[in-house]
Amino acid sequence: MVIQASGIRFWLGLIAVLLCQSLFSQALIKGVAVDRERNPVPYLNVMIRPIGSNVVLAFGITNSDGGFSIIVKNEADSLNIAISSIHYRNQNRHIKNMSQEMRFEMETDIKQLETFTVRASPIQRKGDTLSYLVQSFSGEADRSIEDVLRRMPGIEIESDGRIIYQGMPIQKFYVEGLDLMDGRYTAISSNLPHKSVSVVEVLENHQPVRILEDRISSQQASLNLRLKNNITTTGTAKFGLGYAEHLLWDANITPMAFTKEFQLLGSYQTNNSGTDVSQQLKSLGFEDMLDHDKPLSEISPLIIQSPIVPHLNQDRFLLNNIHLINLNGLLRLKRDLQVRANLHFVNDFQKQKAEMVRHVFMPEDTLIFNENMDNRNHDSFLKADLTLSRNVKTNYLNNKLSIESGWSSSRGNLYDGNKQINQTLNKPVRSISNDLRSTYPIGGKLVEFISYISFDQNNHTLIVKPGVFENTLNNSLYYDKTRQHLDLKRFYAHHTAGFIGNWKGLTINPRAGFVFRKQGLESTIVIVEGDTENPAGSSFDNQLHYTLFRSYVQTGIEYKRKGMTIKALLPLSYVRLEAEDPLKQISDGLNKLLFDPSLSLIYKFKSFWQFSSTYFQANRLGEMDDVHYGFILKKYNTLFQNATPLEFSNSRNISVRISYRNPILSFFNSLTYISGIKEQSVVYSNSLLSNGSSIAFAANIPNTSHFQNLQINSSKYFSITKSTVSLKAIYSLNKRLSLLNDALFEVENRIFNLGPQLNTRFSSWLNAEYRLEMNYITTKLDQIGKQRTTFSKHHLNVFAFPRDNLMLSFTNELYLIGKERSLFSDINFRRSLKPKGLDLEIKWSNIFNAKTYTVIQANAYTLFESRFYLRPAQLLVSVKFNF
Amino acid sequence: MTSNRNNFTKTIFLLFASLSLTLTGYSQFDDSYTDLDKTEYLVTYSMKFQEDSLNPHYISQEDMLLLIGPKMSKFLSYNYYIGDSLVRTISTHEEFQELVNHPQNIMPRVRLMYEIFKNYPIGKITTTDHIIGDPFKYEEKMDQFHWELRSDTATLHGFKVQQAICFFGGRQWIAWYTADIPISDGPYKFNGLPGLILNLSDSKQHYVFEFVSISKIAYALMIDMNDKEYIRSSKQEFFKARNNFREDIISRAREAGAGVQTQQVAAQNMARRNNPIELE
Repeated sequence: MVIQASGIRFWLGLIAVLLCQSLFSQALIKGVAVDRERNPVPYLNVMIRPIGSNVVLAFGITNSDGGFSIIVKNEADSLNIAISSIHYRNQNRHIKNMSQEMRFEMETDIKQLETFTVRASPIQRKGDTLSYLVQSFSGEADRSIEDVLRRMPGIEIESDGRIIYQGMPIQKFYVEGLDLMDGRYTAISSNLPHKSVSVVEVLENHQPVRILEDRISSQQASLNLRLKNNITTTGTAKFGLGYAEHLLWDANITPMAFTKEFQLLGSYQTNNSGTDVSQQLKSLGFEDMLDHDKPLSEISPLIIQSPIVPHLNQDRFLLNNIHLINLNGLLRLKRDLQVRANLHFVNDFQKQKAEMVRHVFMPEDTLIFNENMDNRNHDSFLKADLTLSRNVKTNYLNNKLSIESGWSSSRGNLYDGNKQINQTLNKPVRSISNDLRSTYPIGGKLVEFISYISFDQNNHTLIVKPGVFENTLNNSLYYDKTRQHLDLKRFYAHHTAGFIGNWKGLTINPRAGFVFRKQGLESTIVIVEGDTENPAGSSFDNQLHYTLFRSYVQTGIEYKRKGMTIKALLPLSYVRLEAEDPLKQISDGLNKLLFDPSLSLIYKFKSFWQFSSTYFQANRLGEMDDVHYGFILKKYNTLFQNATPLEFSNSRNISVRISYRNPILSFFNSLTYISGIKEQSVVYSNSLLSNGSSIAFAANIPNTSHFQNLQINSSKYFSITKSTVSLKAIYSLNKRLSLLNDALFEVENRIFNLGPQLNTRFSSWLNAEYRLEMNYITTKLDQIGKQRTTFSKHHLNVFAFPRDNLMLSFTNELYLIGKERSLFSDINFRRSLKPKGLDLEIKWSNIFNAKTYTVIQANAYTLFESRFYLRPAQLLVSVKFNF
Repeated sequence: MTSNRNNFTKTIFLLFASLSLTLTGYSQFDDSYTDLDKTEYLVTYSMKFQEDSLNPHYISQEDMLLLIGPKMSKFLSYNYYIGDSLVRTISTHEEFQELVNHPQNIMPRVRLMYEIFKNYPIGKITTTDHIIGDPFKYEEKMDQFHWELRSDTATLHGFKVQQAICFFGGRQWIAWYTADIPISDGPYKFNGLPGLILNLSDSKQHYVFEFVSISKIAYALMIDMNDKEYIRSSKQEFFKARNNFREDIISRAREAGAGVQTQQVAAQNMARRNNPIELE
């Protein structure tokens, strides 16, 4: 106690002494540093230290006049002043501790600071392979290799499973040196048990394309897992059960197996809860601009009458029962070759029920037709891709061979107010294609070569019962069935090569190629009456051979100046076309040189403003698949002929956009105007019969259509109320020529769309949004008058995150169409139980059990109003886990 | 050197144009650069930081570079430097396609997009930064750090270091500098000590910079600035814009075309980034 008290006294005393000292001994040391030429030297460090000590008491840095001024508070008699910098020799002086002025004359001295490294700077580190023993990083609760990777130095795992090494996403994820999943590696990393992995190798600066190894150094790392056993198996599963008038399921089982030479990942997915899992098989590739001659992969020359699909989330209306099997295998061969096989099998059964009203605005009258539809679609296909790749220093080669076989069929029961009509459509398809891509060096430049070849056969049959178009097809006599056969065989080849070059400040990207397409169409209509079958006649037969050849070159030019960029793309192509139908003794041909330039300009000014404009021109041939000299029964109520093999269109489009974006005020605005003119050689003519059927044909009447679109977007954030108010308005105008019952008239569609929206954040874990969308559609026919339609949608959504890994949402959509209203409300609950590796999801959709939804679509002189039957209220509980 | 890079970026634009008719947008490739100085010394720091002030278990790490020239210096994250260099050097169709199709596979995940130019213009610090889609630029004074020297000394990696403290951006900072390296510079905007700052942290240890290496650069590593049209603002205006963006993330994500799920995830992620290096 006594000791402490005296201690406090001692310290207080010392502080008092120090205070006095510092108050009394304060020196101002000023000075100037000049070089030999008497020029002032700035940026020198001037330090005052006690003599014999390293502790800097005070310091200054010389200013642009070379001057410094330092206040020193110290009781010592003399001090040390040091002046230092990289570019001058250090100087040291002993001075008296008193205010004074000094002068330093600096001598140039390029010092070589020693390179010093705690660890190598990432810029200078060269490619290494780091190996981590999994055992030494794994913990008690870890299950997958992902959990262990998370602990390894430099590795992070993002919420979506993406692996980051030193802040950069990894480039490749190999298992035993094989890249099975091609980027979608989370399926492996989040499932593979860490116990089956012995070593994780980090390949730094890994360049997976070996021909680029010496050209482009990669900054990214790749990971390679070395396995303990010769064979490892694992997987993931999701099971969901629910109820919506009947039992619902949603299951996904993904097993996988790895060996050193062969790896396999499979998946079986099935549900009847409204998810079209076959969508994930669709590849989202870039369509090359010069690839517009490529045959469309899914064609429907013959169709079952189907309602317009609602613009709702698919799981609101898709009545499905789907099974999907997907197998991916990878095999390592000799000589740097790898074979990858992907096999997909889909078996999907879908139901569609709707009532459709068709309003046809005729010059004299408006006709209304009703159709009640009940369709069953059965889609089944098998697709196999075989990819062979070779990745060596001298070239890069990737060849993908795809084979597809499909057996789709549909049945449609339709009631048109008078009678029941049965439609059956079979559309088997077989196709094969080969895609070769290769890169190799020529004269220091890398040349890329692409070869694409495909062949497909489509053998479609549409049967309509009872027979239709009796007047045209069967001398006005009633008959049992109409049968339309159609066989389309197509061959397509596209070869192209390109490289990138610079020439006198211009950047040129030349590319050249040629396209060859040849196809044959055979079709016939058969009248079936009991056991007798008779062809409907030669006007209803086709035997068309079509050949197209196109060669092209293209290049681009760019010009740039402060704030302004102008670009031009100049594709030039020569096209040759031949169409021949020996049955009808018709032969047509065409040779054309086409130039489709495009031009764009961007100008930025005054920080917040941007002006941009684009112009492009497109010369296009008609789609070959749709051409036929004889009539085809396209659907139960349409006979269609398109005897215009040389259909040709020229469109010119311009867009102008001006935007003001001020992020400081959070005020964003843009105005976009698009306008286009399309000159076509063909008009589709319709002869509407009293029962709503139509006989359509293409007529060679040159015509012009116009469209204009104006769009305004505006949004402002108010930080006081933590709310965003935004507005979107679109006005579009569309004018074109139509031919209906031999009357040529102009149709004008105007669409006005207005959408205000409000978003508010009540707290960091609760936010809500309200959105309104109003649509006004006007269809105007020459001298006849107008037809107006109005519909609106209200959205109100609330999202809550009361805890980590817990989400609750309540979403509502109210649709008002004419007098009809549909309300959809959903509740979603998601909880992730991380340590148990279990995800739980509860979805209660369409709570108020809305039964139908009405879609309105305007199409030239027709307005479709479809009442679509929806999925009833449904509850689905699902769990996801690994095995 | 620079013009060569420009040509590459031009090429990228042409490739883009040939792939799609959407000729506007993707302006990040449309860049040229102005050389301001040449790097003499390259200093690397490791920065550990806690983006979420409420979650001390979530610590991020980035390597940061300080490029020091005779007249000025530039401070930026290694990932930003690499991302920028990648975009500048793309030269094949395939690389470009990969970049457009899967930017996440090629581009580093750049969290810190700022570049700090000290003594540019003379006596000022120029900072460029990005709030998704909008490049900003603001200036502040160089000599805003009122360092108080402490008598604590130590040896760090063989350098004699001394402690100094200052207040900046709403935090108290503790620096260890060495007079052995007579360069009056340091991480972030920090400067003005009579030697290089080797170690710097705030009193809560939310931001910690550790010295990794220093090396003399013999090749031409330029200190350059992008010529893009920056929005010139004050520092306070930039902070306001950044704050608005954080709070308005759902609307911005929607405008960018993100789905409802993504919008909500973005908002949750953004809520965790609540601890910027400068609080005020």
